[in-house]
Amino acid sequence: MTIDQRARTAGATLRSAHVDEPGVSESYQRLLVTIHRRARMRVIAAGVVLAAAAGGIGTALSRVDDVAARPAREPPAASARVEGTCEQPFFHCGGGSRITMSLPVPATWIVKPPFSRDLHFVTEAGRGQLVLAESHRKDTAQPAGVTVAEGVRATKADHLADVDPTAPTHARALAEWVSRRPFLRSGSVQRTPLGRLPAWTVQVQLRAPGRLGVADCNQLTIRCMPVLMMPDAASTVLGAWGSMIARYTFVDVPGAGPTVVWSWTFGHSDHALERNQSLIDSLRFAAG
Amino acid sequence: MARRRATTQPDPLRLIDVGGGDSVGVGEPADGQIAVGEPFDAFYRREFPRLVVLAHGLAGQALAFDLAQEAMIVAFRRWDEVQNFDSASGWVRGVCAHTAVSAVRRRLAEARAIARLRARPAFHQAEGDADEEFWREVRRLPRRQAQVVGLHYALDMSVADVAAALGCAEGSVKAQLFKARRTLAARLAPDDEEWQ
Repeated sequence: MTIDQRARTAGATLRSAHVDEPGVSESYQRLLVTIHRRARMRVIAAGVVLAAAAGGIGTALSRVDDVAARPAREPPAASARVEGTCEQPFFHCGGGSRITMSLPVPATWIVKPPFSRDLHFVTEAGRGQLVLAESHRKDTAQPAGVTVAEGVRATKADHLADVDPTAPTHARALAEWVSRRPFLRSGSVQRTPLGRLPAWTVQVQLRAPGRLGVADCNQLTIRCMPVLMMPDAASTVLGAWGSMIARYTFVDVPGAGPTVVWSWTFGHSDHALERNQSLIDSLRFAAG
Repeated sequence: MARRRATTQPDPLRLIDVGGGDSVGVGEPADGQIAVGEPFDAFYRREFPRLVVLAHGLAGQALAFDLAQEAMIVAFRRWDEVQNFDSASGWVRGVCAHTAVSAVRRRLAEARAIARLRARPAFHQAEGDADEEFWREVRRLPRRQAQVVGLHYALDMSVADVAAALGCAEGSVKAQLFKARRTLAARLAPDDEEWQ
């Protein structure tokens, strides 16, 4: 059997497995529920933005609106067209290496080499809403990159990737909470505004990389110590493992929920984190 | 305050026959075309099962429904625009293929980082049948090759339709298919000389 024949057989098997798929109507109803819920959430978020931006209401709202209203598949500037990210409906590529991410509160950053413009991303399960995007560095032997995530929650400290309902949700308190994780060696929490938004940063690494917990991060065959998670996005976990060194910058983004800019690298050296900073410094949220 | 133009189409929310149980099998004719003004619910009922097939092939069964639904939500939000595309079906399949491959790639990237650190295979290679083994290998292909294989083989789309869905030239699709087949043959049947 040639590979083409094998591929056709595998395709036919897959299609036959889903013939007369039950539940299309049910799926449709779930979609409607999701869309209605999302519409309500947008109203709430807009209200939060209004309240937070008192004095600058017009600016804050129009900036959010401008990004949200832009057709996601509007042809990007020719010079900025990159296969992959720019073709996704969740991103808009502008000139000057600028990429706007359609997060709940949209954010824009300038992604230049050595950062890859082929972004990784996560959407909320079943809702088609981008909630996490990250760029990996292309110039390092060890993996390194920056992740932006909105709607993160702190996890329990018992190695299980479950949300800790008692943990804080505001930027400064979250940074201090991370700095107190017993399994992390932490620096001091520092105030590092991101644009005009208040933000706090803490740098951490595992105290004992060889003694990891029982949790698998993101269903991989690895052990990690969960720090943050996104319960509505297939329980995506932002955790610590191996020789990872990470800086968590928590930002109070009006309307976005707990937001983190996660700078990470492996190899026990934080030099890469310094180089990650240029990408973080370029980041701007529509609400800020 | 900038807003997109108001749609002249009826609100899709009011066109839904929630009681309609007419399931749509993927074996039904798929011309990839829709009539202008087709209500979203009809599009959904026809296309959703196919997206599930595509997402299953490219990302695995566990994620298939969610990924298909996400692609449909994107289509719903932009229905006034999407329904006027030459091929709305092709467009939403392209969105689904992008999303599915990205979901897998992010996990693979994490797994590779760990494998490098621990010098062990990134994923458990679960035992399975030959077809599942085939799709597992497709998920390891580069992004574009995986998308092309998924659309061409899982959905039985022609090269021209795949090119339209991904917004690239037919020659590019053929080239990606060639590379993908070569890689898959080397991994699945290294002694097979007939992969071409």
